[in-house]
This record gives sequence, C-alpha cells and structure tokens, in this order.
Amino acid sequence: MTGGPGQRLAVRVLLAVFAGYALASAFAMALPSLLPMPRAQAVLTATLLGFVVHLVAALWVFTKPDLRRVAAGLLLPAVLLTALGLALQRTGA
Amino acid sequence: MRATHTPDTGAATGGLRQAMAWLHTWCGLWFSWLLFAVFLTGSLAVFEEPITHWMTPEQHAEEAAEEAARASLPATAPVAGRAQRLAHASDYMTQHHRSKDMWEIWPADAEGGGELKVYWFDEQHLYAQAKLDANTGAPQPLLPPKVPARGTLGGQHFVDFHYNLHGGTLGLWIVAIAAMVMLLALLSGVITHKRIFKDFFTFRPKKGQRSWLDAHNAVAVLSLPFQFMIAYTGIVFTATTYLPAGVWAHYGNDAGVHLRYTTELTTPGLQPRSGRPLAVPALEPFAAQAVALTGQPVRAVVVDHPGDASMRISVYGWNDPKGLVRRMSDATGMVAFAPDGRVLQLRLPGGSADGSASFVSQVMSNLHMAGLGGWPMKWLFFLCGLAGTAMMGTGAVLFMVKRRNKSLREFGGRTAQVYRCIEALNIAAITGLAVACIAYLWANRLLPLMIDQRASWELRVFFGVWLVTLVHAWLRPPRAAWRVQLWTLATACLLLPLLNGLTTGDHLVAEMARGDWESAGVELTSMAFGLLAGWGALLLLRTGKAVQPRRTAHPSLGSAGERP
Repeated sequence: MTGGPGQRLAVRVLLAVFAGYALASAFAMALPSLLPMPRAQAVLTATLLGFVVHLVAALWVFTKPDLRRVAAGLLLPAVLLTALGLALQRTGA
Repeated sequence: MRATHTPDTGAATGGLRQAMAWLHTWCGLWFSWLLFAVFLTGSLAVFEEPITHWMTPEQHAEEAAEEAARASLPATAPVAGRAQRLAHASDYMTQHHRSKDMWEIWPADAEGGGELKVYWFDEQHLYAQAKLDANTGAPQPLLPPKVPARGTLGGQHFVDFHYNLHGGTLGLWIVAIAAMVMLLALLSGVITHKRIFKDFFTFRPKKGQRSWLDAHNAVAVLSLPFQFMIAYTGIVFTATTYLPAGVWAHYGNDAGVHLRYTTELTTPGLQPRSGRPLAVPALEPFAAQAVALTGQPVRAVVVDHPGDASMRISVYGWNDPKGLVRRMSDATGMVAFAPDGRVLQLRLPGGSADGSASFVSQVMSNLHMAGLGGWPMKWLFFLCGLAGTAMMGTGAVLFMVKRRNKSLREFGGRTAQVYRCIEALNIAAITGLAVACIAYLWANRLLPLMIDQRASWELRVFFGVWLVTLVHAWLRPPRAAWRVQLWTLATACLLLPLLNGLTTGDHLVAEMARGDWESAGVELTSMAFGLLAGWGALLLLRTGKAVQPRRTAHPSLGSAGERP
C-alpha cells in the first residue's frame, strides 16, 4: 500500500476498528450455528466471545507490517464467517 | 515504552514489544482522560447508597421512622393473606387486561405485608401498573411521587456518568469504546513489560520520570486482574447492543428482534399463542409450590399468555440480603409452571435454569456491581477502582513528564503546542474532575432548596466546575495550575464536614454517635481524599523549589520550561 506514514497509520487504525468489528460481528453470526445449545444461549455466548475476537484482531493489526495482508487476513474470514452464519441460520429455539 | 519518531514506523515494526509499546502509549494517552473520569466516578458509584443518603439529609428522620415501623410490623393487625391478594390481582387483570401478553403480579413484600401491585405492558410496550387494595381488591389511585425536600440525583449521578456520561445511547457507546481501548492498552501493556512482576517490586522514589513509571507499573500490576475483569464485565451488561450481529443473524433484523431474543433468553420454552382459550387457574397453589421448592417468599407471579392454552406461570422469590453476600449470582429463585401444574423450569436462588451463558452473564454483571461479599467487597472494589484511576492518571502524567525532559517531536513543528494541550487536558481530567466531583457535593448543600430542577442544577455545577478547571489549566502555566487545583481539591474535601455542619447542623461526631456510618463514611472518605490531594500539592511544592534556578533561566519557555 502506498502513502506516507501518516496515511498508513490512519489505514491501520481504521482496519483495527472497523475490520476488527466486522470480524467480531461475523464470528458472532457464525458461532451460534455451530454451538450445541439453545439458540439464545448460543447467541449470547458468541456475542460475549466476539469482543475477545475484536481485541485479538486489533492487536494483530498493530503487529503485522504488511497492510494488504492485514486487510485480507481480517476481511476474508469475516466474509466467510458471515456466509456460514447466514447459511446455517437457526430458526427455532 | 518508547514511542518512535514517525507514527507508523512505531505501529508495526521493530518487533512485537516495540509495536505493543507504541499501541500502549497512544491508546493509553488518548483515552486516559476519559477512562480516568469513568474510573473515578465508577469507584464512587460503589458507594451510591451512602452518597445518596448523605445528599438527602431531610429524609434521615423519615428513613429511621420507616425502619422502626418495619421492625414493629408483625405486631400489627393481620393483613390479607397471599391467596387472597393473588385472587384479587387475577380478578382485576381478567376484568381489565385480559388480552395482554403478560401479567406481572407483586403480591406482597418479603414479610407477606405491604402493597399489592400489578404490571403489564401497554400499547407502546411500556410498563404500566396499578395498585390494588389488598383486602378488597379495589384499584387505588397511584399517588404522585413525593416531591423531595432536596431535589438531587445523589449517588446515582456517579453511576450514570460512569457508564453513559449522562449522554444516553451515544454516551453508552463512547464508554464502551473506551473500555475496549482500555483492554487493548492493558494487553499491549502486559506484552510490553517482560519483567512485569519484577517491575512490581521496583520503586525508585523521588526520581522524576522513573518514579512515575514505577508508580504506574505498581498500581497496574497490583490490580491487573481487577482491571481486566471490570472492563470486560462492564461491556457484558449491554453486549448485544454493541455487537448485535449475532442476534440479527439468528432472529431477523426487524424492530421486535431484541425483545424476541431477550424473551427467549429469559423464558425459554415459552410456546407461541395457540389460540385455544384456557381460563387462568387460581394462582395460590403455584405460589405455594414455588415457596416449597425454592425456600423463598413470593416476590412476583408472572403469567405469560394469560387465557391461552400456551400459558406459562412463573413464580419469582425475594432474595434474602444476607444470602446475597455469599452468592456469585444475584438471581432469585424461580419456578415456571405449565397451567396444569407441571414444573417446566426450576431455578434455585443464585442458580441457573436458563443455561450456562445466561448464568455466566449474570455472574459477571453481579461481579461488576460488587453484588456479593457485602461491605468488605465494596471497599475492595472501591480501592481497586482507585488503583485503576491512579493507573490512568500516572500514565497520562508519565507521558508528559517524559516529553518535558526531551521532546520526541511526534507532531512535527506543532509538537510544543500539542504538548501544551495534552498538559492542560491532563490537569483538567485529573484534578479538574476530582474538584468537580467534590463541587457536586458542595452544590448539594449550598444550592437553595426551592429552585426549580434542583437536581439538574447540581449536575450543572458539576459540569460547570469541570469546564472552569479546563479553562484554568489552559490559561495558567501547568505547574501553577496543578498546584492551585490540588489545593482547591484538598480544601474542598477537608472542609466538607464543616460545610455540612454549617448548613444542616449535623456533624461527624453526632453521626458516629448515632451510628449513621453512611454519612460519617462519606465525610471521612472525603477528608482522606483531601489529605491525599494536600500531600500531592506539598510534593509539587518541594520538587518546584529544587528546579527554581532553571525556571528563572528560561522564563519564556512556557510549558517546556516547567520542569519538575
């Protein structure tokens, strides 16, 4: 990615905040489909763990030099997990 | 802990520890002011009730009278029993609110007396209520809330401010984001300090920057588990508000989605309305069986889908305050019945029937509010909260102390001006907020009792004083501003008992003599804060003398010349 250090930093912060949140959201969507517990319990569990996912993602953003890899590393799993969550949507309790 | 010269080079190069140090420094700096405020007011919020008690002196006599009345209650004439109260409530609801989705009946207090109340959701889905005469079942007019002699938010102000800054949903989000950034700063801080436990045993006093670093490390390491716990459990309260994607994905994203989710979470197994009518049975047998199963007196009987075959009757118990002290969860006992009397669900007091996630969430919320362990736990939380406050404060000061000695030029040509801003914000965020908090208590005693919106005026004093401290910190040289605000804080805190004596005629000795430890505790704690602030001001005076020659040598350097 091009741009001066200031721009690169801005991109990094945006990735940590928004891509990290997107990954956490995708995780909260996908995990309930896989957990063998009642729907509401599974959603609550996934949501509570989602914050941990966001934290780890944000830390990771600030350790990897290559911004392109960082973006791909967050957004690809986010897309996959969102698709998984929507495909295996739970309808009953 | 080194921040590097150009921003992004520090962000992700030079190895893991340096990257983490960069993250710790900047997350810490930009959020330390807000987090200091959240932690100081959150620590005070632990003592919400004593503070409210201190702020409503006119009600002390009333509270004492109520206490005495409650103590003598069993001797009074017998009042209507539970069966009769439940029958009255059921009749009233059948007559007036037959078609509502939910009835909630509060038959009596824990001793079986007191008021009989019924609740339901109105058309706007807001809680509505009626009070019934326990003996006749006749609806009674709801008395308008009594106008208090001294309008005040009391300790509630500190509770509200620490989680939403009195700013509604926007404030809630700001505080949650600050909590996430704090967790990030904690994690990166831990990674930065490879010799974390050695750091804890190192303290080099009177060494300027070294001492600030040692103090920052010591309070942080000492209270680290608490800091992780309090930040994470704080987010848990409204987790699905901040991260609604899971709920949206599995419940749909229309307007009623959140209600469907919480209903399913708290009343699992409730079937949709069947359309087949079924009369609401007599409620007393359900109540009696619930008492036998949980051992708690009946607090509330909730009827979901009354009059439908899918009906579900849940009986909730009154918690015994003594029992709460020894329980991780503050959940009451609960038994859910099918209309034919089958037990669908049983939750023992402090236990869980809904599932492990609900239980964990409930325990975390209860933990955040120091809901177990009684007064010793409250004091422990208060002190740990103050350690967190000190961690924010020392961190913010350390940032500037380090740069006063040697500018790191992170902001190019504007570095000196930005440092000046940071210094002023440090002062207003640390001593300024503390002064605003004690000013709030002073306002409680000094504002006339008769003015309109008195509670709001107390808040205006809080925010107004805070703003004044910011302007003051901006206009005066930093060292002078620190000194004046610390002395102001010390004076206001130490004189609080005197102020109380002059305005209400009450005083510390009298409070202690009659066993009013809530009032005495507020004033003694205030005086302890006063001594601490005075000690800080003296330290500042002493270090100031040591550098006097240098200051006169560079009178024009402004903040950069204000060396410790």
